Amino acid sequence: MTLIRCATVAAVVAAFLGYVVPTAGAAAGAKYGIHDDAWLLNGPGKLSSRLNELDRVGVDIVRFTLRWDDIAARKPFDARDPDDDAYRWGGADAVLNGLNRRGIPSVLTLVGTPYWANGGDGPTEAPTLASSFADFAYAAALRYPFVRYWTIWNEPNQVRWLRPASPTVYVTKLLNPAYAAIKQASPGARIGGGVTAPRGNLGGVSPLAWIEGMGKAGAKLDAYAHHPYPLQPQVETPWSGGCKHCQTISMASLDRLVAAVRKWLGPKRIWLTEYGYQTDPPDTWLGIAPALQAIYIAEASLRVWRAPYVDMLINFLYQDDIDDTPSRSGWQSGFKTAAGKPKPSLRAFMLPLARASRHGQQTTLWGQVRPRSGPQPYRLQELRSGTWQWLGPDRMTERDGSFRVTVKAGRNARLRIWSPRDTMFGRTLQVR
Amino acid sequence: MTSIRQAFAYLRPVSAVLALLAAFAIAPSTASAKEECWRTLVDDWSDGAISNLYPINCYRQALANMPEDVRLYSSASDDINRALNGRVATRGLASSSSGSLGAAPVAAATTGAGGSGMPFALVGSLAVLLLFGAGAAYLIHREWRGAARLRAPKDS
Repeated sequence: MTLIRCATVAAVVAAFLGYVVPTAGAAAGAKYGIHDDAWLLNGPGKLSSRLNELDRVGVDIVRFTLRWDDIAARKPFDARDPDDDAYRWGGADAVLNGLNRRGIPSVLTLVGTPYWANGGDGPTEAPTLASSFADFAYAAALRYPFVRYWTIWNEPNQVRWLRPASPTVYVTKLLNPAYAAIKQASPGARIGGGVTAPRGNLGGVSPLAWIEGMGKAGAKLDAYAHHPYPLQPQVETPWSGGCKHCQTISMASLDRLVAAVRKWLGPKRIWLTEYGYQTDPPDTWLGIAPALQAIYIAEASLRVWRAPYVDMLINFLYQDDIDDTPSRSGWQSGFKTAAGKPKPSLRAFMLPLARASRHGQQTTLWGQVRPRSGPQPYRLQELRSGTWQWLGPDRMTERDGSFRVTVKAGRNARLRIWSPRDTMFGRTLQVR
Repeated sequence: MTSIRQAFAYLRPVSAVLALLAAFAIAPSTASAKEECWRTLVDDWSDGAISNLYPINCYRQALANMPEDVRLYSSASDDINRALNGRVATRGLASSSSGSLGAAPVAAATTGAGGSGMPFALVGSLAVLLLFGAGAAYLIHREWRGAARLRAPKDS
């Protein structure tokens, strides 16, 4: 009886302390970042303030593009020498060095053929000689020795980016030569290939066929990079709604990507180097409500965190494009509007909170405190009878800022994270 | 008879107003629909599925004019192409030429309006307006006939 009484008292105390039971610790997870060259190079304020802002909101990694056709608009005398007079590295130096000083790693994308390397054609035409792109990759790796992550080209499965959109051309003229050159200049570098769009479109190649083609062409790579944008954002979530029988790959069909990569390329890591949901307003066709974008930011983070083979998830754009084109072709998947006003997704990026599972009144939550590195204090709140009340004491996250806890909260419970070091609350999660 | 004629003469301005209203309702909607039916179609797609039928040219215009992000990063072009093929198959090749419907505006499948040239809401509004007008005309007509009967001598 005494034992039972003790157990009962312990249970009551535990319940009183906030119904919070930490579950198994999380493994070191993926990096979460952004890709927004335009904002980094020409955004509001000074570059240093923009970089500080990325650091403050907890960006783990930044994807940045090096345009070969811009940097080497003139043919270099010694293309392997980054100090050759013909090279104009422009704003890349300031951005990449600034990120490095703040301890934010970059993933560098090399893309765009200069006219002199493809017989006078446009930047989407593959180079005539594989060695010319390899020399540029070597020079870039020498110039930025601190950059560990590299991706070769952007969405080469679409003719908008590479002509011909052929996996064989991609592997032989671009990927394999660059892989060898970057490894020679920077042996610790990790190189991502593929970098595919979620669909091929007219004249292009679907990502599944592209992966197969790369495998058959003998691709050399450390990771497969892909952009799993939702193809019908109004009905597709990070977990559901993806086309089951299509050749396309979005976040909802991430498992198909992994299976195809394993089959044709071996056990490579996966890098999701562009992703995002656009918002309405202003995009009425591909946009979703800003509050829903915030929910999906957290859910996609959880999905990637649960996938041990995925190393990074990068949101395309930090701040929306100004969409003043008649065709409304700008992108609005940023965490800020074109005018610079934060959307709900900014807080969801900083302090994501998602439901991992629920069994009756027991809900397992996943979340993260992204600003800073190392374990971070956090606390949960629940909205009860119109008042926010603490749900357990201050707790510490794992080293990567993530946590996973089981709380007593049923369907429709409203919960949020408090980060004392940021003195801010995250977005409210309504438990499903 | 004179009284009835007078009554119809009285109705003439009412008919003119109704005709004018109808003309105003039809003219701008037809013009804008000619320009915008592809946009309406993409709007429809963006809700999750294409739930209405449109003239063939609207599908073709949507495929030709949709913005780059929609064309390259969504399933819109596949979905609209599939819907176009279905539409062509349903209508038969003979009636699928652009000439048969031209760039005619949107027809709501659920109404069976079959390319009437106006969006459903407008068609509905106009129908209500015309019904109201016809009803009013009928009532006035009956009123005048009754009055004429009362005024007529019983032995005439």
